[in-house]
Amino acid sequence: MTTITIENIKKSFGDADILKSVTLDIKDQEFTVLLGPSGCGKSTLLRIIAGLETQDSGVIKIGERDVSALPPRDRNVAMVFQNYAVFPHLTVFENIAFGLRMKKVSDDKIKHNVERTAELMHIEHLLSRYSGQLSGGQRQRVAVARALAVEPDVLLMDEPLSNLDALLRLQMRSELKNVLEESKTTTVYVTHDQVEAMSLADRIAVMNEGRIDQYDNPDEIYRNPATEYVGGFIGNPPMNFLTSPHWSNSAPDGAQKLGIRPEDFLVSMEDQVGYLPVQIQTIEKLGSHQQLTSELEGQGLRINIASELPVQQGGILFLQPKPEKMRWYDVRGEII
Amino acid sequence: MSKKAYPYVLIMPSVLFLLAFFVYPFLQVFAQAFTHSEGGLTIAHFETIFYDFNFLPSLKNTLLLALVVVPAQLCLAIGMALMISKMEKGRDTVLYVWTIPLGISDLAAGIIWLGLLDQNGFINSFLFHVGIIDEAQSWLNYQNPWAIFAAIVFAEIWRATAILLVILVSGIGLIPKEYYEAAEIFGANAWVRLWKVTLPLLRPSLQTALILRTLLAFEVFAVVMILGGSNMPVLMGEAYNWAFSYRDAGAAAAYAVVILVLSLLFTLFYLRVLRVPKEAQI
Ligand SMILES: Nc1ncnc2c1ncn2[C@@H]1O[C@H](COP(=O)(O)OP(=O)(O)OP(=O)(O)O)[C@@H](O)[C@H]1O
Ligand SMILES: [Mg+2]
Repeated sequence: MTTITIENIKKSFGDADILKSVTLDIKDQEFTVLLGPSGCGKSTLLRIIAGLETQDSGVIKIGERDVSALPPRDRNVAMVFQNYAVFPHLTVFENIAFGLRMKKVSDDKIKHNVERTAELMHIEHLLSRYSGQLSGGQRQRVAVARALAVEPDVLLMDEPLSNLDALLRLQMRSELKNVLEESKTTTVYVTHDQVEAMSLADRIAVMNEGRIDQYDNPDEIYRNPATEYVGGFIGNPPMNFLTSPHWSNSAPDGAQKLGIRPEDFLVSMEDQVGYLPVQIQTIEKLGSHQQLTSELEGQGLRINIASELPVQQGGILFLQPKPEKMRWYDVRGEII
Repeated sequence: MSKKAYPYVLIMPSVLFLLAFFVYPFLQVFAQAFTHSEGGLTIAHFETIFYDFNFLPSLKNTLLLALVVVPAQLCLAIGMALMISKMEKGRDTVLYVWTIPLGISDLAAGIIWLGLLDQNGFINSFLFHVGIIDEAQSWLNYQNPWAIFAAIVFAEIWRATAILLVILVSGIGLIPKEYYEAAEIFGANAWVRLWKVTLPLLRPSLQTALILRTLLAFEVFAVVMILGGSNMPVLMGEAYNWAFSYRDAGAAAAYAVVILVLSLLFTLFYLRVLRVPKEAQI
């Protein structure tokens, strides 16, 4: 059982509060993604879990063990770094074997583990090469293999795919998913790419300026963003937020804004009861659907509609949000 | 101008400089070492110095000094460089202070240490006044060859460790910190990180530093001259004696060639032992 318990972690650098009381309960074998914009403190949190950085206050537990004050080597975690950190002076084999050698594992077991993980990552033909002779994608695989080879309790990854080109990233993403599902290791994965997060995660922790706004499975995060921030960060285009629209009659007490996803509208070319007219400003035809930028009562609104609807730039369209998809947010931007 | 020629044009000035002021004089010395005073090839100069009673002691002293001084300096410099690279504040100041002895000529360094260790020197008068010794002692005389040797070793370490230090500090600065973090995560303690990460990745700098320092060690002269005089012959001192005391330029040139051959051998040794294959560089 390898759960990770993160309680009230705070961290500041100088007088900048980077982490403001972060709490997370990660389940055994769970794949958690830390998602947030650049500079929100994802790497800092990951490095604190690893022990490379020390929190100002708070507790980190791995399983039942309080590791808050332990050095990285006593935490039994493995990490994949953003720029791989594959040792240039060692062969691929020795890189993958590094952690095992430190644990004084027998040579047979080392050979077995290295070959197994190398096979898993499809780099078994590269074992005698040096990192200088590898492509970025191959180096990436070595870094992951090195982490898997030690059979860690916890696997930490800091934007491991960010240095790869789009195609390779896609391929590595699905491979990683398979490999990690198989290895059943509790994983914390940092990224600022929401598609990566949605496709990999069991649960996503959305970070916002040193806080975690929401920690839930991808569907829930998409459907019920806990804060305006989450709704605005996830989804492409993001959720619309409308201040006191005419649809407010169903609004609960204290509701300040209506949150509604672009695809969650009922659309009509003619005026009907309960529908409001919007003026279409731009049309982007994306094949599967059309993406409209429009204006409703002076507020910008993005709508996805079926591709066969005959809309025109400057024209008028009538809309009503699907009632079950409407979300209401209070003054602080939190869901009601 | 073609792209290919460009790098060669850029290094041309320094190459010309080296040719004019190092290679040419050296070829002259080389020729002199093998030329008879009346012209014609000869190895007579080498016979002269090999049969001289000071040759073997000077060779032995020079090698022994290098063998003691260079490794000691290497260990010290690695330790100092590691400390400096861990410092967050004031590292420039500390580095500056540690490199001050480099700015002092070796002659002056010898005089400073003589001033400390001499019979009328600082240490003697200090010990006398504190009452540890009853009368001033003469340590640096022919009865105490080991004391002379130790004094020279101290003076050389004090004077020239910083050459290694500055090279190693810049070399350590080139190692990305992710490698240390990865090693730490995968279970390496500080000692293991030094041996498995720092030193292997530092090999190019170690190579440069060791070549430079060893060559300088073979040319040790002024400090030995001041502290040891004729009690501690070294190769460079003998070359000087043959040139200026015995007025035998051929024999002096032969000594220069001996020093050169030694230097070449050691340089090749370091190049070989500390070689980093291109694919395994940072
Ligand atoms: N050692 C440090 N000293 C001072 N400030 C730091 C340090 N490490 C991080 N920071 C600051 O903390 C903030 C969060 O950094 P962090 O690396 O955690 O961001 P991130 O969410 O991983 O961003 P990115 O997606 O760009 O990697 C940044 O503003 C950064 O400048
Ligand atoms: Mg980061």
